[in-house]
Amino acid sequence: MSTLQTTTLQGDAAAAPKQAVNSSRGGIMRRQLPEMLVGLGLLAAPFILPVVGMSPDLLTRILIWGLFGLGFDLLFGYTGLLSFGQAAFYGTGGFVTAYLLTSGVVSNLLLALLIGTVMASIAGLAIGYLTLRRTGIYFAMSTLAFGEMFYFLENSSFKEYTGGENGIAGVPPPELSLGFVNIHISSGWPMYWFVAIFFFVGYLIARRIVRSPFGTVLKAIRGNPKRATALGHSIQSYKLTVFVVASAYAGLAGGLLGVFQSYMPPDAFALDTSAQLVIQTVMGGAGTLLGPLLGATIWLYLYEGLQQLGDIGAYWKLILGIIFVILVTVFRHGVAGGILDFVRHRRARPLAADEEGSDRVAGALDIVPPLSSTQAGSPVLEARGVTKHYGGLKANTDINFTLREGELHGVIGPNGAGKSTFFAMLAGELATTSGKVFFRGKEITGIGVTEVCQLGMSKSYQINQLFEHLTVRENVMIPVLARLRGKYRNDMLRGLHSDELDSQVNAAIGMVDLTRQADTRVSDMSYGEKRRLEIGLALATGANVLLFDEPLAGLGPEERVLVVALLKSVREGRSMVIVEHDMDAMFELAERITVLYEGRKLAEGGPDEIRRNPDVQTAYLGGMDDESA
Amino acid sequence: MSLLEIDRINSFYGDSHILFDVSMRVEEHEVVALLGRNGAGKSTTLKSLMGMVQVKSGTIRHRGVEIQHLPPYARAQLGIQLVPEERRVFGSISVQENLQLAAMTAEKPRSLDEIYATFPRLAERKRNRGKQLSGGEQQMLAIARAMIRNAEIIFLDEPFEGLAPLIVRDLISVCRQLADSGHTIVIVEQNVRAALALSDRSYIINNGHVVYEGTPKDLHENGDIIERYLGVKA
Amino acid sequence: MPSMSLVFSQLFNGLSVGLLLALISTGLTIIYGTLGVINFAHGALFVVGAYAGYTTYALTGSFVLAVAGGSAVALAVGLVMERGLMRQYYSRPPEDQILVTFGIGIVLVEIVRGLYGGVSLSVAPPSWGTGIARIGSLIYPLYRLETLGIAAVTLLLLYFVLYRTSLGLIVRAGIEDSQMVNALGINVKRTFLVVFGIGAMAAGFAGVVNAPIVALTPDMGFRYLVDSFVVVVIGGVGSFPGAVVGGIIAGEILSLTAMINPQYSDVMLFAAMALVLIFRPQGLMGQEGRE
Repeated sequence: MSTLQTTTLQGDAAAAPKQAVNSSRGGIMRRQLPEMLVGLGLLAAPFILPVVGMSPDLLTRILIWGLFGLGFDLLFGYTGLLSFGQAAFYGTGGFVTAYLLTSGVVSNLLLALLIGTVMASIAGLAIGYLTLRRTGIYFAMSTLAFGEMFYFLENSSFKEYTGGENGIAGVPPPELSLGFVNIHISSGWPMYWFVAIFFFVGYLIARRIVRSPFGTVLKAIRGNPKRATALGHSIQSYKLTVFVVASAYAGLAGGLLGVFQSYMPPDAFALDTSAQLVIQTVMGGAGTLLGPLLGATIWLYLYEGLQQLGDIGAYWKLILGIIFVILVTVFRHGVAGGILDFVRHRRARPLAADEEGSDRVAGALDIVPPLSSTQAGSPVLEARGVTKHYGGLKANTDINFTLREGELHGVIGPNGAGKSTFFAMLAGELATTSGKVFFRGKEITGIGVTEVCQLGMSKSYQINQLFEHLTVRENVMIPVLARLRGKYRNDMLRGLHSDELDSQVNAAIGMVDLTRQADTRVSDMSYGEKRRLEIGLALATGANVLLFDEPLAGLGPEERVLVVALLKSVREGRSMVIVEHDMDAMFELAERITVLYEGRKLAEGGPDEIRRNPDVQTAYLGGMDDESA
Repeated sequence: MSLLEIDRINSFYGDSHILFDVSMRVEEHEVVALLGRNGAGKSTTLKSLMGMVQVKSGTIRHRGVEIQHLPPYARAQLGIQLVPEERRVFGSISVQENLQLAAMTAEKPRSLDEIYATFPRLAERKRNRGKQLSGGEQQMLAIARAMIRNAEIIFLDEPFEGLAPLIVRDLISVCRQLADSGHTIVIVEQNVRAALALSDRSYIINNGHVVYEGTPKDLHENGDIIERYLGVKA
Repeated sequence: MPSMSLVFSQLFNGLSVGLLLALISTGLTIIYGTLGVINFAHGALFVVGAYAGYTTYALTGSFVLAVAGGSAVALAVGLVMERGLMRQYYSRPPEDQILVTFGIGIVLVEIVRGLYGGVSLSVAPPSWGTGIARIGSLIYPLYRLETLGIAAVTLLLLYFVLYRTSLGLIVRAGIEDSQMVNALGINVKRTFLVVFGIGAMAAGFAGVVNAPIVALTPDMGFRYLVDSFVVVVIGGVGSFPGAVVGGIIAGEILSLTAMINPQYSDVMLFAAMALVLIFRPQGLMGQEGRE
C-alpha cells in the first residue's frame, strides 16, 4: 500500500508511477472480482442448483428478470429514480421482437432482438422526457400511469399486431445463423446458456457504466441533485440517458422472454410486471446490480416452493408482500445490501477504498484559466444596479458591487439586509428584477448554477450540501468530472480513473486537509470535517472566483481558526467573496467589505473604514444613545 | 426558583453545533433581552427553548420541572409561546382563523374582541388571508397569536425586523403593555436601542456562547462591551 | 354524430364517475398535503371497503349499514396503518414511503383474496336504487344517478369539515406549516392520524358506494389507484379543489371519449395527463415546486 497519499503539495512524480503499476496489477484482479464471480456462478449454476430443485426453465426465467433488473437498478438503485412503469418497455421490446419473428418480417433472431431493444429505447426516450419533468412522487406516479397506458394500447390500438388479450403465440424457436453454421437452441439447458450469455454481457456493460465517470455522476444525482447541478452537471441529460438505458435493458429482456416461452404474454405490459420488478429489486438490494437477480431468485423460488406446500401455496403473494414490507422497514438495503453492510463492518479497510485513485500523486489543483486575460485589480465579478422585488417585498434595491481580481471581499449586514438574496443573484442562481450581473465581462444574470460553474465560479453553502453516502474522494470527483468533461458527456463505457482526474482530486482533498479521510464516507465524518469538504467541493470545480456563504457556520472556536487559515491559504490565483457573521474573522480576512442594510448598500471600504463608519454602527446597534419613541 | 432555568444547553442543527454550554435564567414578570450579532445563536436559543431545535445536552427547567424532552406543543400548553423570526403566519387561512387556531389549546384564552381592540389594523383585515397582509400586519398577527393564548412566557424573535419606524413604535408599546400586564418576555433583537428600552436584563451571545449578563444600566456604563460584541470594533 | 341524449347521458356518466374519482383522489391528495406521504395503498383501501361492505350487506341486508360497515373497516385499517407503520416513515425519503405503502397495498389485496377468493362478486343495488330514472328524454340507471348525488354530498361534507371545522382548520394550516401548528400547542401527530384515517375512509366509502356498479374483484383497486394518480397530477397535489376539478375532468374525458371509441378512453386520459405534465407540471391548481 502506498504511503504517498500523505504528500499534499507538488509531489514527487518520479516515485509514484512505479508503485502505482505494481498495485494496479493486483488491483485489476480485485476490481474485476464481481465479474469473475458472476461468470463462475453462471457456469456453475446448471451443476449445482438443480440439487435444490431449480429447473433450467426457472433459472432462465430468473436470468431474464435479472437482465430486466440490471437496467432498473441503474435507474433506481444508482440514480434514485423510482419508476413504476418499466413494463412498458419490457412489453414493447418483447412484442416487437415476437411480432417480427412470427410474421416473418425479420427472420434473423439477433436482428429481431436488436430492433425490439431499439424500439423499447425510443419509447423510453419519449416517456422519459415526459415523466422526468418532475421528480420524486410525481415521477413515480406518472411512470405508473404511462405504464398502464401502454397496457391499454396493447389491447386496443395495436391489437392486430399484439394479439390483444391473447398475446403472440408461436414465436419460432431460436436459431442462430452464424454464416457457416446454424445453431438451434432448444428449450432446457441450451436456452439457459443462450440467455446467460446475454445476462453476462449485460452485466459487464452495467458494471462498466457504474464505474465510469457517467456512473459516478449518477450516484451524485441520487445523493444530492441540487449540488450535482451546482457543481456543473446537467443532470436532466444524465437522467434521461439512464432512463433510456434502463428501457433498452427492459426491451431486450422482453424480447428474450418471448423467445424463451415461444409466446409473448400481454401481461408483460401489466402493472404487476412493473411492480414485481420493483419488489424484486428492493428485496434483493437496490444499488448492487445483482440485487434484482437475487430478488428474482427469492421470488420465483419461493413461488414454486410454496406451490408445493398445498394450501399455503395460494397465499404465496401475501407471504411475499409481508416479507417485502418487513424488508423495506427493517433491512433498508435488501438482502444483498445487508450482506455488503455486514462485510463492510467486518473489514478493517473501508470497502470503497479506491486504491487506484489514492496511489496517484497529488499535483497542484488546476484553476480554470480565465476566459480573457486579466490583471490584478481589474473587475472580475460585477453587479450593476441589481434589484430584486418579490411583489411588495423589496429584498434588494439597486446594488452595485465589484469584485476585483485576486481580492477577498466580504459582505456583511444585519438580518433581513438581503444578503442571501444578493448572494444568490451574484452567483447567477437567481434572476434579477432589474440590474445585471457580469462575470469577467460576460453577463450571467440568472443563467443558472451549472453554466456559472462551467464558466469558473462556484459557491460553497451555509448548510453543508454534500453527497452523504459517498466517500470524500467520490465527493470531490464530482466537481472535477464536471470540469474535465463539461456539463454532460456520455462516457458510460470509459474507465473512471485517469492521471488527470486523480491528481486533481488528490490535490483538492489535500488542500482542505482531508487526505487521511479520503476513503471515509461523508456520513461518518465530524461536522468540522464536513465543513472543510464543503469548501473543498467548491475549490475542486477549479473555480477562479469563489463565493462562500457563512463558511464558519456552526464551527467551534478552534475549528474557526483552522478554516480561516484555510481560506487564506487558497487565495492564490483566486478571487473570493465571503458572507459572514463572525466579525473577527471577517476583519482578519477581508481586504474590502460591503455592508448591506435593508436591501441596499450602506457602505463599502476597507475593514478599518467600515469599523469606524457611524452609519454602519447605527445599522447594527440601532443607535446607542437615543431613547426609543 | 426561576420561572425558566437554562443550564448548559448545547444545540445543534443536524450536526452543526450552534450553542455551546449556554446558561441563563428568566424570572417571572421580567423582560429579558438576548443581544448579539446575527448568526450568534440568539434565535437558536429561543427555538431550543421552544423545542424546535435539537438540544443534545443540558437542561431546561420550567418552575423546576425539566422540559427539554417535551415536544413543542407540550411546551405551548405549559404557557410558553414563540413568535418566530419569520413570523410564520398561515398564508392560506384568514386572520381570524389564524387567531382561532392559536386559541384552540389555550387554557384561558383572551377574547377576539380584546385582540382586535389592541390591534385595530387586524380587525380591519380579519377576513383577509395571511399572505395578503403586509409585513407589519403579519408581525402584529404573529404577536396577537401569542397574546390570544395568554401565554405566560412569550419569546419574541426579532419582532421589529424590517418594519417601518412608526410600526416599530406601535409594537414597542404593545410589548410594554404585555410586560406590564404580567407576561414574562424574552426578546431577541438586533435593534439594541429598542431592546434595551424594553428590557430589565440582557444577555449577550457571541458565536454560540453567553459572554455577558447585565442590566441596561450596566451596559450603558460599559459602552465598550456593546461595541465589542454587537457593533463593530473601534 | 352521436345523439343529444347519448351525449347527455355520457356527460352525466362522466360526472358520476368523475365525482367518485374526486372522492378517492381527495383522500389521496389530503394525505399527501398534510403528511407528505403518497399512499400507494389507496386502491387497496378502496377494495377493502368494497368487500367489507359486501359482507355487511350480506349480513344485514341494509345497504346503508353496508356503507357504514365498509367505511368503518377502511377507517380502522387506515388508522392501524398510520399508527403501526407510517409513523416511522415520515422522516424517510419519499421513495421508501412509496415502497412501504405499495407493499401494504399488496398485503391488503391478498388478504381480501384469501378471505373471499378471486372470483368476482356482485352487490345488488339497494331497493331505493333499482330501476331507471327518466330525466326529460334521458334514460339513466337510477343507482348511478344516486351515486352522483352521494358523491356530491360527501364531497360537500368533506368541504364542510375542511373549511368550517376546527379539525379542518388544523389540517389546512398543517398542510402549510405543520411545525408552526405544533408550536401553537396542537399535537399534530394526532392530527396526522385522523387525516390518514379520513383519507382511508373516503377510499373505502367510495368502494362500497361503487360496488353495485361493478364486479368486485380483489385486483380492481389498481385501476382506481392509477386513475386517482392521474387526477392528482392533473389537479395538483395537495389541493382539495384540484382533486375535485381533476376528478370531474377525468370522468368526463373517460366518458365522452368512450362515446367515440371505448378502446381509447383510457389512453385519452393518460394523454391528458401527458399534456398537463408538459404545459403545467404543477397541475391545474397545484402549487409550484411542491414535490
